[in-house]
Amino acid sequence: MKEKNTVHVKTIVAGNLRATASSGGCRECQTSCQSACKTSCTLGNQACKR
Amino acid sequence: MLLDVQTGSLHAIDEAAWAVLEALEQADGGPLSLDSVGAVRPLPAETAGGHHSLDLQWVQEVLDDLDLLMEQGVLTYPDEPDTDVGELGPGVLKAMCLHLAHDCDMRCGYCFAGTGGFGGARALMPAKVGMAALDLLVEASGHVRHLEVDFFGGEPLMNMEALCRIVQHGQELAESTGKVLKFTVTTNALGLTDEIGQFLNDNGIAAVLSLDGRARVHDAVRRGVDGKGTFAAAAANALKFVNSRKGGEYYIRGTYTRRNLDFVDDVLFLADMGFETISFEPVVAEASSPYSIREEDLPDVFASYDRLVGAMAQRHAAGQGFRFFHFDLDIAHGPCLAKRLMGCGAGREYAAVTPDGKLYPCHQFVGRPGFEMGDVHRGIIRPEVGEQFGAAHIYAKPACRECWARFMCSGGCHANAHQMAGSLHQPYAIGCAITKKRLESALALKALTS
Repeated sequence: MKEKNTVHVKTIVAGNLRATASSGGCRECQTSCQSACKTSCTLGNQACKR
Repeated sequence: MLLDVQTGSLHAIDEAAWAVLEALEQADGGPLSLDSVGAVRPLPAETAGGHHSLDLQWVQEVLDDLDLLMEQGVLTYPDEPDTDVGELGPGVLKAMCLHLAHDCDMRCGYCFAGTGGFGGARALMPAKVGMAALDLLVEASGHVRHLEVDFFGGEPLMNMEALCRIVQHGQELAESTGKVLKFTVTTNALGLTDEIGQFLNDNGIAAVLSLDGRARVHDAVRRGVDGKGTFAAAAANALKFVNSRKGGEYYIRGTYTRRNLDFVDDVLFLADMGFETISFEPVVAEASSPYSIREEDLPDVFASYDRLVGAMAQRHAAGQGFRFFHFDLDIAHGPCLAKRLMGCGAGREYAAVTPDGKLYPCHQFVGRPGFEMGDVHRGIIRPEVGEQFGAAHIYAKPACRECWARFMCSGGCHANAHQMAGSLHQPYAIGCAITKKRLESALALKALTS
């Protein structure tokens, strides 16, 4: 069967945020304000330790 | 670009897709159908030269694309209720900011710490207080293995003797408990001697080094006790230290104010000096301060971020890239939803320790009445303080609930919210505007360099 492809929309990053609702919460990741910012955190730039 | 807020997916779209999505938005979230689009934009539209017209075939192709993305689970339409992560439970203390010195060898104009004293007396933390703090951290951290300790101030290098003893104690604790302690020092670099640099390198201590960019910008605000500029000495120390690190972690951290809204030139100046990991933050200052960013400054702030994206994309293509902390989004492997819900962790997972051992929710709350949580000897004796922070998550804040950036920003800085609005539940609006622009810029850079 021919694989369907999009024409006008190209996925750059496929996120899985919803799935982490059940798999996450281990708390091993960096505490955001312990990073470079100290005043203005962007939490999305923290890495998951898993 | 199209960001799917609820899955965290990022898509590149062409003009036809943009036009269809715009029409669907105006149709107020109607079904993905020709009728929904047609209700807003008559179909078929003119096609000649048709970049902005809605040709019937294009519309159907876009709708098919969107259907496919929904099947693949990377697009949510219409919006669904945000995913419930269940009971968040009590916080687990896993990071501490040790105020080694409520004193400083600089007198910066914008200092939120009252030039070191945090509104109180100047003081140094005795080593035994810092060691007791680490004991508490290890005990309170429960199952969490990775712990973080930041040496902060004021200027922590003014208390090197305690810093060395606390690091040694931490290493002994790690050895005996199996915990992993990561140390960071946040310094103005003025007292960063070769000997201190060697100690930081030998012990794997990350460094955050404060420099504001161009000499005239830096010296206008970051002055020594004698009132003179500090750029020459601080920059020379920082550069020498960074070159000695051989891969050791560091960030050059700058603060921009309304006096250098063209801070992109400061970031690029530091990159040209050879620094490869840079972070720049908007100043934290009362609205009446001559340094504070005001609403009318935002177009210039945004223009700086736009220029930074362009410059970073060019340098990346030329193999001369550098890292800008806030643009470092790893969208596919970022934090889990629970983490994004709770944000910075102040008061629940993170505490600041004053030189006399008092605990506060974070370094910015130190000295603010009503926020003392306990001390290093007795632990958290006022858990209700941390509970306030736990209750101020993004699903509980009206301004966050509808914001597209909620899962990347996680509600912003509690200290800024409290300082500006007097409430943990009301984010600081100018901070929100800057954060959203910064995130848009990060996503744009991601698309340009992918």
